[in-house]
Amino acid sequence: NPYAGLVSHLRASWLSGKTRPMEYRVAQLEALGRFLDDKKQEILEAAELDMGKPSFEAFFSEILLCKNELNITLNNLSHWMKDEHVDKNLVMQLDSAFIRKDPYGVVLIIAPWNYPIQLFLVPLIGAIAAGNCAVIKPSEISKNTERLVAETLSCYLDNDCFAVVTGGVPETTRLLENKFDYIFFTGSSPVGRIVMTAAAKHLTPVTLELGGKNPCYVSDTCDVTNVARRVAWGRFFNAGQTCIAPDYLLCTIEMQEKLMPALREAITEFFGPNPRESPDFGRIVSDKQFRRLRTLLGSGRVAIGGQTDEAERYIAPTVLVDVQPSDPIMQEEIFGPILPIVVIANMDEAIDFINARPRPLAVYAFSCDSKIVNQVLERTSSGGFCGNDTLMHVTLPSLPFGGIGNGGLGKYHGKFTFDTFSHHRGCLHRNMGLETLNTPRYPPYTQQKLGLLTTTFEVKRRGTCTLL
Amino acid sequence: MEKMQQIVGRARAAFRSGRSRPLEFRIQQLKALERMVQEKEKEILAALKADLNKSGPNAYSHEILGVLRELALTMEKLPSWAAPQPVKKNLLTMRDEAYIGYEPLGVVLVIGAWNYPFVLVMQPLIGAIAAGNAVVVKPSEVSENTARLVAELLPQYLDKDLYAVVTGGVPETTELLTQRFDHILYTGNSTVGRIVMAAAAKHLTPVTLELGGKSPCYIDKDCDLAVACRRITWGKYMNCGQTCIAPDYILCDPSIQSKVVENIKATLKEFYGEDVKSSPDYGKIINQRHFKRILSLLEGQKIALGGETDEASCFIAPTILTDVSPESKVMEEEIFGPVLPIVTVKSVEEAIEFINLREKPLALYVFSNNKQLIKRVIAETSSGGMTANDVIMHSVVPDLPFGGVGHSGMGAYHGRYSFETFSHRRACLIKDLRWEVVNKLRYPPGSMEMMHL
Repeated sequence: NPYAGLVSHLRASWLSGKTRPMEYRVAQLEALGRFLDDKKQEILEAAELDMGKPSFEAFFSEILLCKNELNITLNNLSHWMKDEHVDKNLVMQLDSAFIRKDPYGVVLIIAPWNYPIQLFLVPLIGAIAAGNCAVIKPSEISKNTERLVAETLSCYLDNDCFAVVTGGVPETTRLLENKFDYIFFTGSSPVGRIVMTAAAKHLTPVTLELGGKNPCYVSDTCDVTNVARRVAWGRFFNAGQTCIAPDYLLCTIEMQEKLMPALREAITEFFGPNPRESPDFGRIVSDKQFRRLRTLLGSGRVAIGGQTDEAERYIAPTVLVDVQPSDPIMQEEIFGPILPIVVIANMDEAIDFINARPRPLAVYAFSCDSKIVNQVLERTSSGGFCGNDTLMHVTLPSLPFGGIGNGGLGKYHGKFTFDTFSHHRGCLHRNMGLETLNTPRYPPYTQQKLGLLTTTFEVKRRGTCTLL
Repeated sequence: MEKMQQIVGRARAAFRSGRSRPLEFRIQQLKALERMVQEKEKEILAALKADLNKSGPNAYSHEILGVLRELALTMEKLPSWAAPQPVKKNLLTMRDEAYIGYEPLGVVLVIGAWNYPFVLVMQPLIGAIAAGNAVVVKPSEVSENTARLVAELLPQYLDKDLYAVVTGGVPETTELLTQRFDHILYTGNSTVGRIVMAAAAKHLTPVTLELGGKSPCYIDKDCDLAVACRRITWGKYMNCGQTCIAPDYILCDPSIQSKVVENIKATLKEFYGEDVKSSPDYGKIINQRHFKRILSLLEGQKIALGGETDEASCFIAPTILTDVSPESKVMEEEIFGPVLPIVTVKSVEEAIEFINLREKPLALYVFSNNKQLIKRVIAETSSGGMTANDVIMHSVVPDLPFGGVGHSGMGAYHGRYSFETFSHRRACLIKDLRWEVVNKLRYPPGSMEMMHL
């Protein structure tokens, strides 16, 4: 077990108690902030090398969003760490009942390649804030970022408590043999299953942030220009390599005809007449992913885009029409800059279409009629929902970010990350006196004692009290 | 195979019909459950007596009272629990609607245990119904009378398709676990807990595992020993020690060990009379297998009190072992019986170290007049939950989450936590299709000046 030494070193640090004091956690979090500030250029450059990530996008998702999470955590940490006192009944008035936020111990964070800094750093913020030690396993696919993190993070964080492990599938498999006290995984559903199965051996709780095909319903009553912009933005951000990107569009044939010129216009507005020359459009992360996506272009008919360049791993912002539910592009999460449109007759058909499939990470619905937006919301199930826009629900830290079903389990962002990495321990501190109050519970058991117990312990429904 | 698939399939179809979603329906089902408990009280108590030899008032207070209380609390609070929760917005979302919606997960599985066989299926069931799910209940086959009764009663009071009971042992449970559920709540031991989680992993099903462990009980020299021992005796020997949060073993200074034994001895007489075996309030070990298991733990130990057994009636007298070695068998596994080992330690530091060298327990107990010492024990250890200066009681505070950590489990329930365990918290952001000008800040072509706005 090549990582046994590392994990036991971290566990010894954990047992020493050094990660518990608030001052320590604040110091480590502030160091993370300095990492983001000092290494901003290197982070942007690595993201560009890894997947042609435009620096505008990289700054937004890898720096700005991370700093927001850091600041929210630093601003609220002492409040979050406090014991939460709860209501007590009659018998316990002199006692103290509270929920304590205990760290778990040594946690493992496995990150994917598409937002390679954000997707380890935001969980790490919560892990540190909650008082844990952590092993970070960045993705080997975004290899420039992986190298940057492996080489520089240790200059900022306490190496006794935080370590970066690099490598691919074999290394991750060996890593997962060790006992961790929590595992946070972002990636694909098949690997999510493997992680959870490995965690089960040690009874390790997990958060799995997975994926799915996020449907985007566009009703007939809507502002086509704005819809096209918002959908195009969400679809083509990071060249489509976003777990919450709108995966496919559902609309009527009439709406499709109206949308097409609007989408074309939005794409041109964003990326110019030749997106390949735009500094604001990304590339596919690897040859394997590029080839997979190029094959998917065969589904339906290309209405916009469709150009590719293997050397650059470039796939143009593409819209496909005449897509059948049985087409290959409708069988897997696309994770690329291709937007298939599936034509449906009406909203009910769209909702049935969505509900016939595994629950996605996000459902999107566009309409000027709020009743339609609400119908789609109420009649579907998904990790999250955004009406009349895409992606934006995950930029609000007060909303939990997570999936359901194949989309994952658990949630994070903001306080939810802190809560994810804390064990909420129910504590009751009783008074040693007033022992007579306890008599009804002790044997010998009698009906009289039972009556007393019932009176002191039961909860009566309001309005059921009868006047004696 | 066919049968399980059909049952779960029916539940899923019933869930898809949407009828479990309106709050009125859920409350109506909960009211029906309440009627069931009230109308069938005699039958429930008879089943508990047959399974665990629990006496009437005892069974009522431990299994029925808690259920009625949970039902009343849930029906009372459901509208507020289920209401969408608006969240704090930022500058960009000021004009939008942002809230967390509580939605049912779908079809959930509740696997009960044999030691509190009624409440351990009912309490999760209440939360699952309240959250709007369809539920498959699998009571423990070891407490066979209660299992049979639950299987008979639930269909008489609840919607038959939405809420199903499956009975059987290991083969049936294994079969059941191959089906896809949207949440599994399992109460039992760590070994089976691992099996449940591994089965759940195949379907990416979230789990709540309420397991066990050895719950330590530290008695400080500075405390009212008579009161402490009284409370410990109550918690240890109720249900004949077969309680997941019973104080499993005692840690104390050697100088008070014999006083502890004396106090417990006196309390036992008070509770169960001179002849424990004839007390209607003292239970029995659930079956021969567990009887033999607990008996083997006594081998080579110094028995300071008790030790009498009767295999035919699965009786084991309240027993205390003194000067127990940390390496002995009785200190390796959760005892789950009326045997209380005392391990001596010279200081609270030693006690804390002893506790931390072992797996995280479901509960932890500390008795002391010294508030600072108590705070220290809490701060330097980890456990599912804990009570200071008493035992068991943290599990009856309705607003405290009840669950384990590490090998003692994951997730929590009781009251609001049951509702949340069986709900999906869906992030909802509803924007306006107008006000596009604000969005232009984020669209390409981007520039760093725009970014700094």
